[in-house]
Amino acid sequence: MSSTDRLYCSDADPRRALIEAMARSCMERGYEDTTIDGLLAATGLGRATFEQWFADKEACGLAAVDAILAEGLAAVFETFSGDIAEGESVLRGLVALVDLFAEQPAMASLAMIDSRQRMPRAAHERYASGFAMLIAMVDGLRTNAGAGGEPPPCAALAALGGSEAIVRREIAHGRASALRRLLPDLIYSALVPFLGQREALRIARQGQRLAESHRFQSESR
Amino acid sequence: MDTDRRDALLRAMLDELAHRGYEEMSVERASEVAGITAGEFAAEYRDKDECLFAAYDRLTEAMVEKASVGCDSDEPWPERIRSGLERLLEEVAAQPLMAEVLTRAFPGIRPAAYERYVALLGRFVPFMHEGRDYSEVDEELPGEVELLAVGAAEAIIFGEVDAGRAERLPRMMPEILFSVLVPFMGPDRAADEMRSAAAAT
Repeated sequence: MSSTDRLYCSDADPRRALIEAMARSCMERGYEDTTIDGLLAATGLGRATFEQWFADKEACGLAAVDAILAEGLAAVFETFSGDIAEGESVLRGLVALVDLFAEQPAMASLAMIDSRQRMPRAAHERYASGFAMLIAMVDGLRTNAGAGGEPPPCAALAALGGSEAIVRREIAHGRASALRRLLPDLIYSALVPFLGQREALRIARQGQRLAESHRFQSESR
Repeated sequence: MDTDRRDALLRAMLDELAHRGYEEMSVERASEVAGITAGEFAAEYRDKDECLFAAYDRLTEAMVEKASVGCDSDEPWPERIRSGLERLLEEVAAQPLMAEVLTRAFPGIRPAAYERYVALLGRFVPFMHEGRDYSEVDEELPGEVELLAVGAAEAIIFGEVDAGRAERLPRMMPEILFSVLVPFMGPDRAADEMRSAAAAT
């Protein structure tokens, strides 16, 4: 079952169907212009079912943000291992996130764009708390900083911010499914303040090989 | 409508958006503040959205102009970036309400408005191209390194504006400069520039 089909399996999981309808509506028309009636029309569900799960539009929106943040963090932390180098961990975490966003572009838009700038402040607080965990993970690389001195306190936020700017642009232009091809850029941005250009480029090349192997797998199906 | 009156209307529209939000803002109130009649408004703009989008375009144009003063000078690229960043941060700190409109109130209206915000970030990308000449490695840098640098600064600026701390941004210039330069120059030389900028302030 594709991620598009899942939107319409309202009987199986009505709460999830409403969340995904919320994400899709926000992506297509924005949170302000999203209505409960619109979500019900998209899912074929009744108002009683909506009210069983959510008090109002905002509650549904926040639940959608919580869902994608939980999935994103789970995807990242599943890749984390104490047996591999930290730079490699960041690479694997970014691959996991990118693949999640490619599979669920509407939820990716909700996480990366709507919750940050197009929804009520409570959504942004959710986004910020999830983002803070990723910042902490990247900031752990500062123990690798060289003789030039430690990067400033905001370096991890900025490094991920650079990657985010690319991801948001691609999602806004409907290209979430092609994010893997930008893995080298995302990885480089996250690593260069802490590992330097040479090492960041070396690990970025691993990302390039991953991106190319994925394209090979897609074409051979 | 002459330029001064149009600018007054556009500014009033952004003030309305900043203070009341998109749903509650009023074209009538903005027109009254700017001394514009309903007929004059209708002759110039089809509706609230057309005027608001024009206002945002005017605001972003002014922001880019401010940051790009002196970009054609003979100073080395890192110093031109530092100067542009200084001016940008001072402008954001001086107008925190407009900064909030720029980063959140307007982009949040609908997807078409958000696209304007994405385009704004893209306007700063050309300023970064020259940074590739400062790389300390022979290998070519990734294709989107310019947007990475812009996004790095945006993340910090957005965070401070959103937290109501825009006034701190000029003091943060050295560390923001580090994050803009580091994808091009590596951490050691970016840190040198950061320390030099901190010593100069």
